[in-house]
Amino acid sequence: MPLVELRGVHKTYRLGESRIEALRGVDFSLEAGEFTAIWGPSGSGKTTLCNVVGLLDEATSGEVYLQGEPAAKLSDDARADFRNRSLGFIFQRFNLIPVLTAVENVMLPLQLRGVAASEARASAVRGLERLGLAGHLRHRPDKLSGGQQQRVAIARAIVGEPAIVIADEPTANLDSETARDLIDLLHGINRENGTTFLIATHDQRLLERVERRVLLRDGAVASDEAR
Amino acid sequence: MRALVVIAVRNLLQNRRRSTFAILAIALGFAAVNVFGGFTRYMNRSLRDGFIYAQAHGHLALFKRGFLEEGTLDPGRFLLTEEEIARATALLEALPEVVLVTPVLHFSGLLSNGAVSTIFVGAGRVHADVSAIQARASGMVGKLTLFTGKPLQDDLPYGVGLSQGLAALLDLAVDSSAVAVAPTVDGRINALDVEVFHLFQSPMDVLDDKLVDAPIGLVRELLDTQGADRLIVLLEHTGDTWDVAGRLPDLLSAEGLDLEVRTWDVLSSMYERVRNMFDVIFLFLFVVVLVVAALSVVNTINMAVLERTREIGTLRALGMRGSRILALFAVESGILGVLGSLVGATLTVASWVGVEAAKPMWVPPMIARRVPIEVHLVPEHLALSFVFLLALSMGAAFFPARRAVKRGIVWALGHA
Repeated sequence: MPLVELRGVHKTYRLGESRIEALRGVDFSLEAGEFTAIWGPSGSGKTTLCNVVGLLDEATSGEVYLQGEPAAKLSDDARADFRNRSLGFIFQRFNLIPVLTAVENVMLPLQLRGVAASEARASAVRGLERLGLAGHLRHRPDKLSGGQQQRVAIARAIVGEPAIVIADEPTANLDSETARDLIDLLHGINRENGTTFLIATHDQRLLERVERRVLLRDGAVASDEAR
Repeated sequence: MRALVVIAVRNLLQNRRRSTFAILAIALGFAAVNVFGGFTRYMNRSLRDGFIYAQAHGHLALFKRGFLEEGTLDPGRFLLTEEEIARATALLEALPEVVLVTPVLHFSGLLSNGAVSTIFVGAGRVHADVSAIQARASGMVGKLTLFTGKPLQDDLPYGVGLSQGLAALLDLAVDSSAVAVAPTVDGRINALDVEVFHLFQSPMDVLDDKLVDAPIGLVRELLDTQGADRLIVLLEHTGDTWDVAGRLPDLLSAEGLDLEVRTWDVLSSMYERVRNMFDVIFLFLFVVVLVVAALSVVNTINMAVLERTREIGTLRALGMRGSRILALFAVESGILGVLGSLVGATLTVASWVGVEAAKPMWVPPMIARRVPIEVHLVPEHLALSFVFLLALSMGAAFFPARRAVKRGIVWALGHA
């Protein structure tokens, strides 16, 4: 059973008087342990596809299955719980909570799950140390570099051991060297932990490292190649 | 929940200036309502105690049925007889709530200094009872001496008190002699020599040139009756007034006494008017405070929601439920409400201490004398204000936060 399965998914936005078809009948599936990139030009529907898979947005039509369960049946709270337990997110702009320290940001998904603060802190510290941020546990995001912030975001995404990590342009705001390190890091996590990654990107360096590349064009899958 | 509180507190600290303004707005509102509420309580208490104790009107007054409507036209017909007074007094004094029962006989006529005469109205009272009633007053009312001269004595019935305006009109002073002329209950004219024992200020300017206070013995002799037009009843507790007033008609009927009962608040029209006036002012103030405090919190939370829209999207993406987002902002505004109320309570107590120390003077209604202004802090009002402002603060956060939650995660994440 695939972790994610999309059948004929359409997503339409209204922008004033006009309708924008971001996804046009997408069929897509993702197996456990994959390290997959969704790529394509701007406006091709990469982010929309990630949002639908990540239960951040709902498909206008079509079917979305996550771990075999139809997403349409989930209530708003059930979707929130599913995101918390089974999904991790890495955003282009890191999206750390500015008033929380690095370790508190990483603790947050666990605390939302009801894990005791001491236990959550221990897990968060382990995760940050593993990502080379042992000296920055108590730093707030504004005291961290872009690369460090993205590492904190990665630690936050994987601390709860989610089934899938969804990353939307994770290298877009990073310099070349930091981006390269980050790609190594994501790849390493995928290999060591078997964590499934779905990455929306048009970064060629990242595309060269993934095992599967799904090209989106005008909201539809144009090609799907395994490497 | 701990994470919510941490995020809330740090965000409030992050925006110190904005948070401080919101806290101050709530605090000033809290203090304004409670200080003015405390002054209103003092006013109402003073008016009530002024009427019941200082003026010795008691809690209840009993009249012969019809006296209040026709008594002025035919006073003799509606006077309580000596026997009725005795029976009613015995009945009343048997009630556990009753402290004292005393007769009063009002009279009017001419007062003459030998050369000039002028009209007067007055009351004949048992002054030992009047003193007993006045002695039970508490607070500012209990500390006042309402006359200059010597107190009236029941065993010296010729000694009267005059309002200062009346004394001035007739050029009378303490120890001066005068003649009181009044019609008896049978309609004949009677006159008695009196001596001015003391002078007092009328509670109302319009009556200051007309009032006479006298021992009931003098008035009974002048009117040639042993009756009274009313019985004044003093209760142990003011709160028992309406319960006793409700029970009395049946008790009196059973005794064969056809008497009407009136409570102090009904007889004191001034109390009702002033209380209503202060209630209206308080309501206006309360609404203004409510609006200012609510707008302040709404503005603070609106700004917070607007600035942190992407953060809301992130939290929801991480799995925070919409209800917990609402709780997050409710906690933030709740903290504003709690801190605002605590600062407000401090301001209230400081204002109270300031008033107690400075003792600013004024002339309140119904007590014609400069007295210190007081603020009576009411713990229930403080607690109620705290709960109300806390609920208001948390309620004010609800709508902006709910709006943000309803806009959707993708929209929130895309917010700059």
